[in-house]
Amino acid sequence: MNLTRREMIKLTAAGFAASALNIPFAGSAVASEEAVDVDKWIKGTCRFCGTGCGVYVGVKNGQVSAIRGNPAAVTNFGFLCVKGFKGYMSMYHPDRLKYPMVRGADGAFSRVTWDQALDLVAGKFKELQQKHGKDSVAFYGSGQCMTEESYTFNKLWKGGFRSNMLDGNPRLCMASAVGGYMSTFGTDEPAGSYADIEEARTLFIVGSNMSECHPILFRRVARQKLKDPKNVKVIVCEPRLTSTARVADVWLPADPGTDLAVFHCIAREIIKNHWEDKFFVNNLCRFMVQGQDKKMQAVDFNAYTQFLEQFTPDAVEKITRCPAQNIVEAARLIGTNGPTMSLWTMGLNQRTRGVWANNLMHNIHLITGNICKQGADSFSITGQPNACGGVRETGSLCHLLPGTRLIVDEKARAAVEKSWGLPAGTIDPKPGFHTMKMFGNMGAEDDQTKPVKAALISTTNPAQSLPNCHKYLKNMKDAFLVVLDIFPTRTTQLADVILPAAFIYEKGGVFGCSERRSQLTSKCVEPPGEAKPDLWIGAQLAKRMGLEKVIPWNGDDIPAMYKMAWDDYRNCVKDTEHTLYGITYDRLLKLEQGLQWPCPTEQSPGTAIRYVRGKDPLMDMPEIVNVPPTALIYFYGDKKHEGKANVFLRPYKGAEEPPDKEYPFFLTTGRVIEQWHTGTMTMRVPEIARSQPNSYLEINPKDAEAYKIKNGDLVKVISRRGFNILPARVVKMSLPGILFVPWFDQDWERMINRVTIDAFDAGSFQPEFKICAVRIERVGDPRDVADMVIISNVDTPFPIKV
Amino acid sequence: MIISGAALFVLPGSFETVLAGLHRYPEVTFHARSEAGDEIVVTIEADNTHHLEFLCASIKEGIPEVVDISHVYMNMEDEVEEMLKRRPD
Repeated sequence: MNLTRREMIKLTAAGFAASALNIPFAGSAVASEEAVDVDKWIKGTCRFCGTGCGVYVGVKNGQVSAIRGNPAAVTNFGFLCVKGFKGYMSMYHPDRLKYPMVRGADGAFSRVTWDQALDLVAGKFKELQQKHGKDSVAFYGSGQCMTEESYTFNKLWKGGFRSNMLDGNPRLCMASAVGGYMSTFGTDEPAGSYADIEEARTLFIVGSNMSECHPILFRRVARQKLKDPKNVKVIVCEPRLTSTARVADVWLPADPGTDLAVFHCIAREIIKNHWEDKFFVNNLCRFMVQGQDKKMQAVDFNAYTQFLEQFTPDAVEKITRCPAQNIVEAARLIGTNGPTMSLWTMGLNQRTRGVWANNLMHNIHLITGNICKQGADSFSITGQPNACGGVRETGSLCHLLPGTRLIVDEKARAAVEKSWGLPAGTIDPKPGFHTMKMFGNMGAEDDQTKPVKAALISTTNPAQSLPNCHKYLKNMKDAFLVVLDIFPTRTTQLADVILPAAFIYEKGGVFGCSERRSQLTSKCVEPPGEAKPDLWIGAQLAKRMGLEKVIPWNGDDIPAMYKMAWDDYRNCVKDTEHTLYGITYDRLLKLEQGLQWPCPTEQSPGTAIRYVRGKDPLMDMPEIVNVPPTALIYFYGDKKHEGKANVFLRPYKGAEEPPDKEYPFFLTTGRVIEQWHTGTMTMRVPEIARSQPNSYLEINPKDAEAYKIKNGDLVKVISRRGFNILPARVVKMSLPGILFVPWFDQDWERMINRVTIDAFDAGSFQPEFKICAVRIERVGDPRDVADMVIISNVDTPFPIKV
Repeated sequence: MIISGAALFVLPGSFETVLAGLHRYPEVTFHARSEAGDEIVVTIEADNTHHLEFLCASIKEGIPEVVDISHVYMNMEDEVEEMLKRRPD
C-alpha cells in the first residue's frame, strides 16, 4: 500500500481514537505507532487538573511534536481535554524563563550564573536563620510540583532546617477535604476510586462545575448517565445552573454557604423514611457532638435523629432558597436508588466551614452505607495535578509529616526521624504557619512585627492567587523573595531572585491524582536555556547550606536523582496507612495505569477500595494497623481503635460575610474550561487566550435590569476589601442575587482576588474564596477588554506602588 | 497543520444522519464506528488549533445529533516548528 505521510498520520490518529473507544479498526494494522513521524513516544501524565489523565508525548528532534491520550490509562481511557492537548504550547512560548536572575539596586533584574544565584540564596537564608531563627525562612510550595520535589523541600525544611515554616497552595484548594477525611475517618483521602462512577446509580455532585473543571471525569459521569438514563440519576448541588447542573435530574440551587442545612435535611429525610443502613449505623458510625466544655463527645443515634429535626425541608428552603421538594427527592434517590457516589471540589472546600461541609457529606454516606462498596463513595476531587500525591501524601504542609501524619504526634516524628537518619528530637513538634498566617507574617528584616523574613516560592503565584491578595503584596515585596517558575508572573514582579524551572516533560517525576493513584512521567526533552528542575534546585541549595546528607540526590543525572528521592520517600512511608512502598519506579515505568496506595509490597496490585477485607491489603497487616480478624469493613484510621467513622452533629453556620444592605450580592469565583489557575500557562496558548481573553461578571437578567446593566457594560464590583471593573455577561446561569467571576485574569482591574475575603476555616485554615458580599455599579458602556494580559517581561513593574 | 484523531459521541439511532452531516465537512474523514453506532472514529484536519476548535463547534451546531467530540490524538509538529522559530535564544 502506497500511503502519503499525511495519510499515514491520519490512519494512526484514527487508530488511537478507535483504541480509546475499543472499536476494532483495520487501519491500525497499516499505520502502526512507528509509522508516525516521531522519534519516540514517552509515557506521562497531564500537567493540569487533579484527574491524572495518562498521556503519551511524541518527541521528534528533541522537541515535543505530538500528544495523545493513553487508552490504557484507567483515569481517562485515552481522552484528553483542551488544556491537556494544548499544554505543550506553553512549553515553547517565548516568555519562558531561561536564566537565573537577581534584582539589582536599581530594581531591574540581571542575568547571573546558577552558582551566583544559588550562593546568594543559600547565603541569605543562612544569614537570616542565624540572625532571626530557623523559622525566619519559609517555603511555599504547590500542588503542581512533582512528588519528589515536594518531598525534598519538606525534608530539607523539617529535617534539615528543623523548621515547619513550610506550606503550599493546596491549603487554598483542599485543606478542608483533608480536615474532613481526617476528622471523620482518622486518615486522609477517599476510600474508593473513579471506577465507582461506572458502578453508581446515583451521582451526587456538590460545589463542582465538573464539566468545565474536570471535563474528563465529567465525561465518565455523562457516559454513565447516558448508558441508563432512566435509572442512573444525577443530583447537583450548586448555586449556578452550570453546564454540570444542566445534566442533573435534581438540581439543588442553595445560596452560597448554606448547603450545610441541605446536607442535614437530606440526612433527616433518609432517617425519617427508614432508608438508613442499620448495619453501618449500629457498627461503623460514632455520633459526635461538641459538648458545653467545647470537647467532642459521643452520643447515640437517637440524639442525632433529634438534632436533625430542626432541618425540615421547609425550614431549610427558607435558609437556602433551595426548593424543599428537590431536597426530598435528592434524599429519596440517595436512600433508595442503589449505590451513590458523591463528588465535590472547591465549592465545598473553600469555605470558613469547609471541614464541616465535608463532614456532613461523609455523614450522608455513612448512615446510608454508601461507602466501601462498588459504586458508592464520598469522593473529594482535587483541583491540581499533584495536590494529593505531592503535598497531602508527602506531608508538605506546616502541620504534617510524610504519610499525612500529624507533626504533633510524637510517634510519627520519631518514625520519620529514624527513616531520615536524624537524631531523635530533630523535628520541631510545633506546626509552622499555615498559608494565610505565613504571608501575613512575612516582611522586611528590620520589621519586628514580621517574623518571616524570606521565602522560597515554587510553582505557584500567590500574588494573584491569595484571597484579598493586595493585603499581602507589600509583605512579599519587603521580604527576601525567591521565586521558582517557568514564566514571569505577578509574584516574580515582587521577587528578589528568579530561578527558571523546568516543565514536567523536561524533567519527569511522579504525580498522585485524586484517586490515590501514582503515575510516573519520564523526561521527554531538555528544558530551554539554563532552566533546571525544582529537585535539582532544592538539592543544590541543601548542599550549599551544609545539608547534603539530608538531601543527597544532588547530582546532574536528573532521572536518577528523582528516583533516589522517590525511593527515600517510599521508605519513609513504608509502615504507614498511606504506604506506597510497593510503588517502585520500575513498576511505574512498566504499568500503563500507575498504582493506587495502599500498596505495601512490590507484589501488591494496589488498592481500589480501602477498609474492606479482601480488597485492602492493610486489613491483614497488623504491623501497620490493627483490625479484628472477623471485621469485613473496618475504619482503621479511627483513633479510638473501634473501627468506626465519626458522624458529626455540626451546627448550621452560613457564610462569613453574607450579603447585607450595603453589599447586597453574593460573589462566587471559579474556573472556566479553557483557563487554569492564574492563567500563566493557559493564557500563553493563543487559541485559549482568544477564546477566553478576559474575566467577566456573570449576572442574572433580573439583577442586570434593576441596575440598568446590559451585556458587555462595564461594572464595578466592590467588596469591603477592593474592587474590579469587569464586563457584564447577563445570563440566567446565576440565580438572582448571586454573581460569578472567573479568577484566571492577570489584569490588575480584573484580578478578582482583590475582592475576595481572606477569612478562613478554623480547622483547615482554608480561606473562603467562594463567598463574599459585594455591591455593583454600572460604570460604562461596553469596551473591548479582550487584551489577553500576561506579564512578558520580568522587569515590567507591578501595576501599583507596593 | 493539525491532525486530530477524535471520537464523536452521537445520539442512539442517529449514525446515518450524522454520517450524512459529516460529508459537509471536507476536513473530517470517517474511519470506524461502534457496533451500536453511538461512537464514531474520525480524523479532523485543521490549519491550527483555533481552526480545529471552530470546526468542532460548527459540527456540534450543524449536526445536533452529535453529543460530544473528544480528541484522543493530535499531531502538531508543524505548529511546534512555527513556535520555535519565534522563540528568542
